[in-house]
Amino acid sequence: EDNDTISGGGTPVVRYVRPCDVDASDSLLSSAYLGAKIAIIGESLGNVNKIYFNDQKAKLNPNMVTDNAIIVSIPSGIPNLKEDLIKLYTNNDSCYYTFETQVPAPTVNSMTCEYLEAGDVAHIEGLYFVNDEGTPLTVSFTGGVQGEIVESDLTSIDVIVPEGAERGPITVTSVYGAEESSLWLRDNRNLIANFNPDNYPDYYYYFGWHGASGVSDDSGINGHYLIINGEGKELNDDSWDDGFLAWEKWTYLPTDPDFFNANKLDEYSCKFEVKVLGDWSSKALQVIFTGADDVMMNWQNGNGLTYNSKYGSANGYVSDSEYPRALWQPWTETSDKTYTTDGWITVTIPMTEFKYGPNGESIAAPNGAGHYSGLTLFLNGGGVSGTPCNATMLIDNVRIVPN
Amino acid sequence: QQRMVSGTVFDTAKRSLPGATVVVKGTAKGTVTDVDGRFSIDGVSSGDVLVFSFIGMTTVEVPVANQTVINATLEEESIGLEEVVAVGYGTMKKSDLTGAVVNLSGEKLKESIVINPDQMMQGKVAGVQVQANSGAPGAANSIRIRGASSINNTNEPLYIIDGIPVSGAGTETAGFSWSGGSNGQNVVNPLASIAPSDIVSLDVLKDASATAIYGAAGANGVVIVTTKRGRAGKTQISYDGYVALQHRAEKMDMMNLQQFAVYQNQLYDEGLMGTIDEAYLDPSLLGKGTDWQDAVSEDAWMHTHNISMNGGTESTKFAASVGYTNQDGMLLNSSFERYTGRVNVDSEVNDYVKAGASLSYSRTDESIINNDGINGVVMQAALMSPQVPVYDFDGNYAGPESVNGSSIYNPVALTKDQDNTLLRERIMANTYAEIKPFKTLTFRSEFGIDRSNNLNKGFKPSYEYGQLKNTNIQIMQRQDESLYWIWKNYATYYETFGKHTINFMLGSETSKSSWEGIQIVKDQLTSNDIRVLSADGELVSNSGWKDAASNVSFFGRANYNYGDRYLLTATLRADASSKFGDNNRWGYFPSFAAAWRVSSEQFMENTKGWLSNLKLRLGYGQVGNANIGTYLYGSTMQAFPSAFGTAYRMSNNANPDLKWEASEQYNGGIDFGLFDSRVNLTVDAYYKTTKDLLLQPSVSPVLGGSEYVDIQTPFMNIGKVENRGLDISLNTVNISKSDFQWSSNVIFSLNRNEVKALDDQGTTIYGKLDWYAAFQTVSMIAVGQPIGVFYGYQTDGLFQDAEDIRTSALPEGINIHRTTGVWVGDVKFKDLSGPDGVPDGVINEYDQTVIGDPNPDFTFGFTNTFSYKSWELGIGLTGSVGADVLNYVRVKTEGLMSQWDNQAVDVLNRAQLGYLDGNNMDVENIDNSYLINPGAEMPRWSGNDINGNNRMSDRWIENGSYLRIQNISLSYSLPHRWLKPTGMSRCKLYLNAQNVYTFTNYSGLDPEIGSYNQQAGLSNVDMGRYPSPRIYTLGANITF
Amino acid sequence: NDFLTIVPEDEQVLETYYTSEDAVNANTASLYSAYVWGDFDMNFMWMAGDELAGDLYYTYDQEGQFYYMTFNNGNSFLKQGWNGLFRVVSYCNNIINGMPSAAGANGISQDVIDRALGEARCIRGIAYYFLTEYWKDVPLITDNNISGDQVIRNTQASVYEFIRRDLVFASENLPASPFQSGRCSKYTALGMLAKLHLTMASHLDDAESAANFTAAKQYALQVINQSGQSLYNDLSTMFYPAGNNSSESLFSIQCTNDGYGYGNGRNVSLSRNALITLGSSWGAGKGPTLSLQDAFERGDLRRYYTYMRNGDSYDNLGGGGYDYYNFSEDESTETSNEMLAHVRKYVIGANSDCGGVAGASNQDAGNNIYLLRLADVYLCYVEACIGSGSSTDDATALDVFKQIRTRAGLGWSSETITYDQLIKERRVEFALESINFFDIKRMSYRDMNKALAYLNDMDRERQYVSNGQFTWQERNAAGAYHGGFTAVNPNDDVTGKGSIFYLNENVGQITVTASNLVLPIPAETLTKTPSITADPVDYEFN
Ligand SMILES: [Ca+2]
Ligand SMILES: [Ca+2]
Repeated sequence: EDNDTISGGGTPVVRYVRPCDVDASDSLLSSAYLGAKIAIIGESLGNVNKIYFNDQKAKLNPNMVTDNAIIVSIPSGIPNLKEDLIKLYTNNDSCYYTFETQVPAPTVNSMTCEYLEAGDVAHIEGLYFVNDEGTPLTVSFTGGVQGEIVESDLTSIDVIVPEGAERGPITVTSVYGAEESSLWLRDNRNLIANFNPDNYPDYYYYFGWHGASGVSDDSGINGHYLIINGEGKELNDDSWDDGFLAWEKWTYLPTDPDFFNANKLDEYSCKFEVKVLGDWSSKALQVIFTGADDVMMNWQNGNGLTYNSKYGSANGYVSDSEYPRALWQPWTETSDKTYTTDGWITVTIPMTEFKYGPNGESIAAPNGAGHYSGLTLFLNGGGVSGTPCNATMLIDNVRIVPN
Repeated sequence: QQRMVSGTVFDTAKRSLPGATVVVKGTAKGTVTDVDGRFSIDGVSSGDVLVFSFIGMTTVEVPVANQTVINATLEEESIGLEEVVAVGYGTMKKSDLTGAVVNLSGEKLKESIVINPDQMMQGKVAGVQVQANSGAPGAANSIRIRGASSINNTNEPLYIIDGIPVSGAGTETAGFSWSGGSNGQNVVNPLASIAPSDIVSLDVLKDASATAIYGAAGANGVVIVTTKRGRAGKTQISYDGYVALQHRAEKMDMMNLQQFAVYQNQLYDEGLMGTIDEAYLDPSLLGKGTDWQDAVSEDAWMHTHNISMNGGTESTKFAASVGYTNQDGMLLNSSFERYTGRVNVDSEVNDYVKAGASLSYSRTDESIINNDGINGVVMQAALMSPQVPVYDFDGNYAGPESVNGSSIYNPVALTKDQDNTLLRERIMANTYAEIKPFKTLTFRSEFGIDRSNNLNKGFKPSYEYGQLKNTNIQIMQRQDESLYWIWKNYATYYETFGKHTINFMLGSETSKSSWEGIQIVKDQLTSNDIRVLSADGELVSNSGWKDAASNVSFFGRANYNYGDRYLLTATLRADASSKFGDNNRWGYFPSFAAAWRVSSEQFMENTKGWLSNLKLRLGYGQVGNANIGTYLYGSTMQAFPSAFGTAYRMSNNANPDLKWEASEQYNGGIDFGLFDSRVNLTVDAYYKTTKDLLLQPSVSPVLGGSEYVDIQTPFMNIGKVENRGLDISLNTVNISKSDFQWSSNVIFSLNRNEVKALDDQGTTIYGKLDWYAAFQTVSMIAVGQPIGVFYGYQTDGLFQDAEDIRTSALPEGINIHRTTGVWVGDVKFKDLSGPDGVPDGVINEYDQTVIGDPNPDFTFGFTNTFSYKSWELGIGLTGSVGADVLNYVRVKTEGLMSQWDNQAVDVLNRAQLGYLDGNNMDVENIDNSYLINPGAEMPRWSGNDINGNNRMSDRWIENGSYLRIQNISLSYSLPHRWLKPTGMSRCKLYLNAQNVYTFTNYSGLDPEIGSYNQQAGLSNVDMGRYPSPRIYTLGANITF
Repeated sequence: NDFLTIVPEDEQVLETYYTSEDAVNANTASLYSAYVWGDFDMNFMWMAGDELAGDLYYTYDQEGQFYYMTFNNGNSFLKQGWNGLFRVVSYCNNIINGMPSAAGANGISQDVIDRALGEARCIRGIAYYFLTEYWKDVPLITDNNISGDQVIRNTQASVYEFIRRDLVFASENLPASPFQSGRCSKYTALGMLAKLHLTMASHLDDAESAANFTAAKQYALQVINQSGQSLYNDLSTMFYPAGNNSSESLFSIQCTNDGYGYGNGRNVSLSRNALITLGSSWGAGKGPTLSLQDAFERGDLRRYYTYMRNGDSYDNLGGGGYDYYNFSEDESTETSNEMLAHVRKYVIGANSDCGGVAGASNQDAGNNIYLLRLADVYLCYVEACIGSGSSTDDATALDVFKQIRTRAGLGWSSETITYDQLIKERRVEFALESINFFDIKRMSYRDMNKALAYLNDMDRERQYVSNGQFTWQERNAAGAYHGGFTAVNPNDDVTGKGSIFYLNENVGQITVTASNLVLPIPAETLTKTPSITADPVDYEFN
């Protein structure tokens, strides 16, 4: 007596599509995003047993099909063909209804290396790189030039950086829209350390006690870069060589501002370019931000070397297990526990990840504001046992940029 | 000089009897009466004697002399004082009885359509309570004759089937629990091997003076089952058969998809779920979803056929039958099929020697599904979300779309895909020889065997129901066989001197039962197709058993009758059993009874006109019970598999002094017969005490506990249980006209049961359900209480607001907290007591009390038969008043434990929280909370139920009183003129409706619950049993 | 009479049982089996051990009451745990009381009898250790055939002494290496003695505290130096059947795939879903708490073997491989839980992943359950070295501590180990092995306020809510989230979209109090043995 799922047998007719929510029952939909659950309203729908959104088959629960309504989720798969149709089938009949499956505009998440020159291939990772037959995917660069796409799939694009590409964001355009990337090609926003000489009033490329193994501009990507372990000394679990493996830029004046708005940690990431020579399999690259209270150095004003009173020595924060920092230790994640790079790459560390001790200790939260006017890079610790190695690391363009 | 003799055969109601046999005694000459009951027979001489007989009626012999017209009246065997009743090792005229014995025979056995013979007693015998434990085909029943007296052992009566004793305790099917039916009912009917239509009479021995002759086995009453035996005369062939449709009469009122969506929205709006499936946001868009109860049920057919032959000469008579029954269950994949065959032969070798034999074979094949309990299909179907379809659009079994912790498997799929079958074969044979050297003395020797084989097979296939998968294919096979033999020798001496009649019987009996079996379980089979135990798969376990029990008995009986007025009976039986050690092997069971037939006294002469019978009876007897396992007086070492090879542990401590459980009973009865026996009233009052109960004391877990895996305390003889009661039976012929008769039968049974003592400390024994039931204790056997009273907390409504909570006793250690404590809308429990015996402001175990009694105040049956010419209408009512039921099903359907499970529709009206500040921002503030619906009876949703809303309390106890129209039947006997061309002498067609309607306030499927797996301590616990179907039958009885 | 005497043909009877050394050994074999420990290990062990400790999140019904630390004595799992442990005691008592005379009468050598007694008393001591740490004052039962009204509780100090005597006896009568792999050895008893003395010592106000720390150190040192056992270095099989009775195991419940009750139920009860076991699975709603997840250091190899999180991939689960994502590709098959992680330890997948003993049908997986492993004794040694102080620089302590960290892929450069560091190390080393609650108990003996602060700082009400506004592509994009993603509530996000997951703010603070640290005696026992509520008394040793 109750079975309203049994249709009178007529041809299915779709009247309209609406959201499931009863509060939004009078707002009709002509389009909806992938994965959205919608209600198809009509007549004689009870015999429908297959629904396609364009060429994507939807998962249909027979209990969600009644004569007057069908509740269905738009398939997550991106249509191969943008037809803007819902196709409903019964055993004998079918019914098409115009409805757009909305796919978000392309989103650029990362570029393997952000410092590229014309002619280099940029490898971009992201989402919704839909290369529709009718409307092919394009990548345009600041400066108004488009790059030639070598290869693409839904989540990655290899594009040749064209002549005339300028510093700045890139824009990927698909049939579903366009979005400018938050990342920049050759990003020079908010550079904290570019390792170019004569950056500091009375120091060379560093401002503290240590300058790692020096700098060079040979085959660099943006002038001089920092070299850590330039002589290929052995790195092992127990070695500690701040003189050779650490680089500092300490706070200069107590009034020095933070590099970024540290009240919004979750909106920023720290980025730098790096090139690893040889197989890296021991220690972590520690990236430590400090403030005037942590460590400060100023002798140009005749005040002499300033130590922070919190620590016994100026670099006491380095080995303090409760002082938060980020640890870049990619070799621990690989199957053979070694890591090297194929040229320069861009490393991105969200500022919220600056919450580990020198040996990987979890610390409840990153530092708050006031601790981001100095920077230390130190290849040390990490807490994970590795195998001794002789890798060298080149670093440039340390910056903090919006996500 | 030979001549023709003719006449008519009538029954006592002066209706002509078609199909009655008329034979000239000592010859093969004979005939059968026609449709008008007339006969004529040629070549009869004056010295002949005509013998008139009809099945179910007394045989009448009439000397021909010089008559040419002879009319005979045959009486129904079940009516009348001269009825012969089986009393154990002999028969007795009903008028000579001193004990409480009830005979059911003839038409009374045919009033309801039953599959198994024990159901024939339902509503027919005062003092006998028959409850179906389950509506599943072939399931066992709980039969209680005058209440339950034993606690750990069976309370089912002893059946004597053509001389062979069979315990009423059902046998377990191992495959049931194996296939995932976690502690559901797994007992199958022990009488399933007998076709009801083979039975000619059931004699129910109720009081101890009657059962004491069965001594150690008689404590729960005895039912003597007699099958049809041959009669001299023309061979008759009869067909009895019917076809029936079974229909599910009741469903639980669960939510449909729209209601389920409303429920989901409620939970979301109350902030109890973080997210909600958008599909539920507008319930009006949804259909009804899947009704899983419908999905697992279907109208099912059953049909049964029995063909019997009956005949023989004066010296050798035979009866034979073959039968077939096929019943499909109303729930998917449950079924019962039975083949039976039976031959009974009796032969008088000469005037001194008589011999005979009976042989029966049966084969039953059952498909058993998980019926009771949380894994049972009844409960699973109730709880399965209506959002899940049975099949997806590709025709595959569907499952939930996402894999949740508490996902329920598609009950249709699971029920159909899994196998659990039980094939039983049984041969029972009995032979006897009787020598009668003198007219007064008979020696009888009887030898019987009962041999059975059971084959239980289970198969769990691999499957994929939506996202739920199983890849492990498993198979189980259990085979067992048993052999029982019994050898009886007894002598009967009968003599009359003037007004004195004496009757002595003396005998001995030896029996032995042995059994063995194996069970093999394998898994990781490679295919679902081959469902036999083969080389495929990995052995999981392999077990075997072999054991035996033996008995030796001596018994005697003396009857004395003075002028049919004063009757005395005394019996004594001595039993020895291998179940007891040397210390206490023998048990002695005496009885005495006396009766006074007042109506036969001279001074009653002038009341004869209306008082046809008045008899007073008084009896006393002792009986025993030894239905325990073997070797419980000693300690065994149990073997089990372990990582270090086979491990052994002591199973139980020994008790070499273990002895018989003894029961003592007094019975006083009065029989009235009025108006030429048109009104017969029998009233019996009894007082029964069972002591030295064979009981395993329930031990505190601190001392090792009483679970199977524990080193168990030994069985001991402790405690005492008392049953007092009244059995009333009233048979009346209300109207007796030649065309129209109305007779009725009322029975009334009242029993009061009380535990008088337990062990020295009076340690209470608690009944509990399976672990998932989450009740630590459910029922209790405690001194001063009836057996199995429900034990738990009393509720006092719901907490209405903060003030209410602050001023009430709260569960121990629990504070006010929305997630981890007590909150508005939780159940308020009554603070009844505390460690010092007075209320202490805390709700804890001291506040538990007796919250219900599963024993009825009284039960009754009321049967009416109306006949008009060839039409007959029968209406049977049964009822029970005052028994409480623990409706465990509601704990699941109203327990609000999982957001994914379906719930009863009533859940939509549970307590719902509102916030005084009008928004949902300050939900953790108790002073901001109130009940939107203060009248709600069901508590709020509380995922982890820290208040214990679902604890064992009177919330789950309901009144299980009911009145049931058990059956309505209408039959029509075809006129002879229609039958004549077909060669039939009798053809009766009938329509029957069974389980027609039940008047009750009980909210579950069926208030007739019985004892869970026949356990005394767990009566009237509704675990989602297989509902009893409503059955519509069309049948025929045809005789050629 | 012969006709009436029937001795079982299918079972041994006591009178004729103890006729060989093998029979004695087969009898003691019962003490190790999940068959007897089952009620303890099947549910209660992890509910109490891991949920109470704040390591395992689960909030459903009675099982969740342990997470909230607000059960009542009607909780059926509480009852199971109590009953199960007392069952073990009853089995031990049965052997201790009955076997020696019966076996002796049949000519079994005293050595064999003593060794069996050693096993029984060792295991009884272990069972009582669990009993007293969960329930504090418990009845000391040596004869199970006393009447119920004689059952009274004994003080915790008595229980400790009782355990100590059992273990000392065991240590003196058990062989240095077990006569059968997996049986108790002398070092099982010594390791347990170390733990016992450490526990006794943690009652700092006890006069013997210092002596107990010393005893704990000495016992642990004997195990470290003399047992010949070593850490098992294959984390991938340590909790699989392949790791059964490894070089690290000192005492494990022996689990076999012989049907319900014989094996390890965790593969079913803790695994995320049926896609992992290809059979029953009930762990969807269970996961490591956020606080436990936080306790793992970066690069800790144990993390991957303890719990699964987004992007983890296992080749020995799911019948040949399982990739863990919070959401499955079609978004509906698998869903995330509130911890965004599921249990890995002791989960062994389908039959083909673990030699056919997954037990996914009958909860009878064949992987043993560790009750005492060498690493525990190592860290007990460290804890004993710290004593009532706050750190140690003991060289052996540093060595064993480093061994454990090294196996986890971590180093230890400091020259000291503080108490807090040790507790944290224990927490991750034994995560989801159901023993961390005892660490908290010891902490509470030292300093109740510290223990309560430790528990309450875990913020066990924290849980993530899945935000329905993201497409599958976004949810499953590389690096979309993992254990430590940023969580922005849509209400706090200017774009209104928020994070894919965010912390549920609508959950009431859960506060643990001192009374939550002692479990209530189950209702069934109170009802059957009311005398147990009397004040505990000291046990009279004779
Ligand atoms: Ca540079
Ligand atoms: Ca109270």
